Amino acid sequence: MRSRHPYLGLPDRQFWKKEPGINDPAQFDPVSDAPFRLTRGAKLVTAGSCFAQHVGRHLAGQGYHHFITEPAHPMFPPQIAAEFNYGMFSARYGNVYTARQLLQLLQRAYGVFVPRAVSWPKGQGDRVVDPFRPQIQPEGFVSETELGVDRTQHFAAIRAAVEGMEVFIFTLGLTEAWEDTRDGAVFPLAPGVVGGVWEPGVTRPLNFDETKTAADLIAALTFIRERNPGVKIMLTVSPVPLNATFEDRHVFVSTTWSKAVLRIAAEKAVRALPEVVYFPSYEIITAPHVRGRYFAKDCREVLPAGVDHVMGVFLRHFGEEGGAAPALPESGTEEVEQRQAAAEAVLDILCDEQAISNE
Amino acid sequence: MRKVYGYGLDPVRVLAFSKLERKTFSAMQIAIFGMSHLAALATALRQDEKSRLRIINLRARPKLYNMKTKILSLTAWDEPDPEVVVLSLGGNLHNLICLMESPVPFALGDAKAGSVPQYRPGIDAVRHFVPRDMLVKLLEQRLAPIWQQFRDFHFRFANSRFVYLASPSPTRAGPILTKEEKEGTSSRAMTRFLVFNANPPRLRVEVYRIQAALYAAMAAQMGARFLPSPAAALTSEGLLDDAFWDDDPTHGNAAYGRLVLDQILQNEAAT
Repeated sequence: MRSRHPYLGLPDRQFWKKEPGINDPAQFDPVSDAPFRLTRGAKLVTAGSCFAQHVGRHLAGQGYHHFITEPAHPMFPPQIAAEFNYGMFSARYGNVYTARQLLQLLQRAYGVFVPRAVSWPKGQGDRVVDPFRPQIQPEGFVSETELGVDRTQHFAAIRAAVEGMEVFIFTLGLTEAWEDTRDGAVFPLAPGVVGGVWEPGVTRPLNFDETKTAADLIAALTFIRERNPGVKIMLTVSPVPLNATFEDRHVFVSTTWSKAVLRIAAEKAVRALPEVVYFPSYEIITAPHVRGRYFAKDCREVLPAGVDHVMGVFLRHFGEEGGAAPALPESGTEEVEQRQAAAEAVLDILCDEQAISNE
Repeated sequence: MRKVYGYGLDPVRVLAFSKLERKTFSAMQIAIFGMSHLAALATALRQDEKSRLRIINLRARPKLYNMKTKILSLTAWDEPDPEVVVLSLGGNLHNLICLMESPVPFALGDAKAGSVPQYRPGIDAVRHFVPRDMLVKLLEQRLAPIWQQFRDFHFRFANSRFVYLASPSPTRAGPILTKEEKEGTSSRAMTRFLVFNANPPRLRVEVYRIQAALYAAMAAQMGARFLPSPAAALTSEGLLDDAFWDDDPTHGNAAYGRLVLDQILQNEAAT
């Protein structure tokens, strides 16, 4: 007779060896519960790091309503619109890596926070970049005045997204950022990387821990809920490792620290706020079950097969009609090579971080 | 009453233009190749200039230019090479983009004003803001086939000097057509359309200036001389003065053609 113990009768998902993904990676599915389902008509707003771009694009490709409040003017063909980062996210905010960046983006859009940094110079002449989305235009803006007009339109689009969305999907990406010491404004990239001038006294590096990240995240989500009480919120953590760290240690050690912080912060937000759910995209890509095959040759970029797996699981649990996770290609097959080649082609996804180098 | 057909394809003018061109001569010095914008020059060309200047309407030369494919076949040119090749190719892209107001009205990024037109709260309807670089990119993309035509000419006439002509600046369009409507000299439907749908002049001028700058840059790249729209034909706002266009808001008239011919000849005299 088996003795009684607390684990008896618990669901299979709580036991490692019961996970079917051990034997068949395509079956790996770490989602435990889905408190709501998306409908194809629901207005979805996406924001976050590079990986978040995949989410919006994939959902739109599946017929879901990626709620774009800042589209390119219709005279522009898709290729030019993409080059200027229209349609990548719901508004043209570019990558939002940290919870503090999300909070300040919202505060700026509503006029609650007006940073001292208005623009950063770009090369010679009057050209400038937006310090808060420094790569949103290939060559920056023709002047600070032009940037100001664009920003006015941009903020209106953010407010429209916040107030009109039905589901908000935010992908946490980083903990490291650069802060303006004068007023605490946070930039996604250090000045000097793609614009601006590096002045050590004015800008300093920050690495938000789990307490600060959770506080910022909860504050940002609360800010949204105050303006849109009915919005459902989904949090994910980007599986993409750091491109660079300012901490004096190996970049992979910084990566594990950052991802742990982000995962904890997401969990704290889920526990603190109603109708906030965590979706384990980080886990799907990095799990031992998939044996590292979802990373490209650079060990950093996520291959399309990985995105497909993530979104397959996503739609199975949260989609209108569900959906099966796609089958994995056999390892070492030509298809993987082709996928890797395809991945290189999609590396043009805007990733500000990649602008960082020590050369 | 003369009618306006689309973007200035006045059949009467084109026919006269083609007949004129057929009077060829041997000692050609300056050959002006182009399309619809050359009608103004052909009309203005004086008898005494015909020994020096020749205007070749590519639309009337199917061996040189295939209207359907828009491909040049300059190997079919079997006459002596001109000393100077003047090119008036394309040029109405700015009008195609913004003579008429878009169903989604737009404002263009501007270094000084921020946007053109500037938004005046409480007065103007909000326009979709378009960063300036983005419109430049669109024009570059749409002009790529024209740039290839330029290259084709340079390849064929490797020993000639080159001059590129700017197309005429935008016209005031709306107000003028209102006047002409009263005089019964213009298409009523076209008039009404333009009166109510023309984009703000400042915006049209800005888009034109971007286009002209791209032509100038292409000229510099190819070692050609770029001749802008003659200053004497422009208003202080940079629009084509009413005296230099008739019933077609996208093309200059004979008076404009005269200024351009003088500009070409003065440029040659100075070279």
